[in-house]
Amino acid sequence: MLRSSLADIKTVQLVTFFGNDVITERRRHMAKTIMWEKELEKVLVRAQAENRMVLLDFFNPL
Amino acid sequence: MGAVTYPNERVVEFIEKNMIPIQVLFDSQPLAAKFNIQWTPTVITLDEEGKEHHRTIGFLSPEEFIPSLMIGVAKSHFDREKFGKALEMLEKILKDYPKSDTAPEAVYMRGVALYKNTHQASHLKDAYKRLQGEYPSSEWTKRAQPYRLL
Repeated sequence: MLRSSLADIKTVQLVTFFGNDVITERRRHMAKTIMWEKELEKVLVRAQAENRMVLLDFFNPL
Repeated sequence: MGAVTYPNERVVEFIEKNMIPIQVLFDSQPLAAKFNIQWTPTVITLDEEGKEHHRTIGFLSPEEFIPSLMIGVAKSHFDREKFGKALEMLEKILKDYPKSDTAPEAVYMRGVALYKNTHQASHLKDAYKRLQGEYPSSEWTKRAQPYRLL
C-alpha cells in the first residue's frame, strides 16, 4: 500500500526558453512512498486476504 | 536502504504491486529472535503463512533489490510446487534484470523448475549450458556443473 503525505510533496521548478523569454513554472509533485506496516500478525491476515507475499525488513535507524 | 533504495520509484511500484511491506527494528522481539537476526539490514520474503523463503543481508541498490525481491517471490511459489508461477517470475528477472547478481540464480532455478514441471532432465543440462555461457564465474554455474553429465 502506498500513501502520500505533505512531507512527500515536492516543488519542481521548470524553466522553458522561448526565444528571449524565460518561462518559469512551478509544479507540485506528489512522490509515492512505501507505507510500512508494523505488526506481522495483521500483515499475514492481509497477505492471505490479498494473496500477496510479505517483505519483512529488519532495520537499524542509526 | 532508506535513503536510496526504498524511495526509488520502481522499487515502490514493485512492492505496491506484489508485496505487503513491514518494517521493524532489528532488535524487535519476538521477531528478531524468531528470524535469528544478526545483521542489518536484513530483508526477508515470507509467504502468506509467514514462512521464510528468501533473505538478503546488507545494502542493495534498486537495480539489485528488485530482482532480489522477485526471486524471493519465485522461491515462495517454487517451494510450494507452484512451478508455473515461479517460472513467470524467473523469466521476468532474466528479461528485465539479466545483468543483476540475481540473474544466475534465476537461470539455475528456472532449470530446476522446468525439470520438476516436466520431468525432462534436458532442462537441467540446458541451465548449466546457459550459466556457463552467460555467467561463467557465478557460484550457480559451479552448483550446476553436475548437470553437464546428464
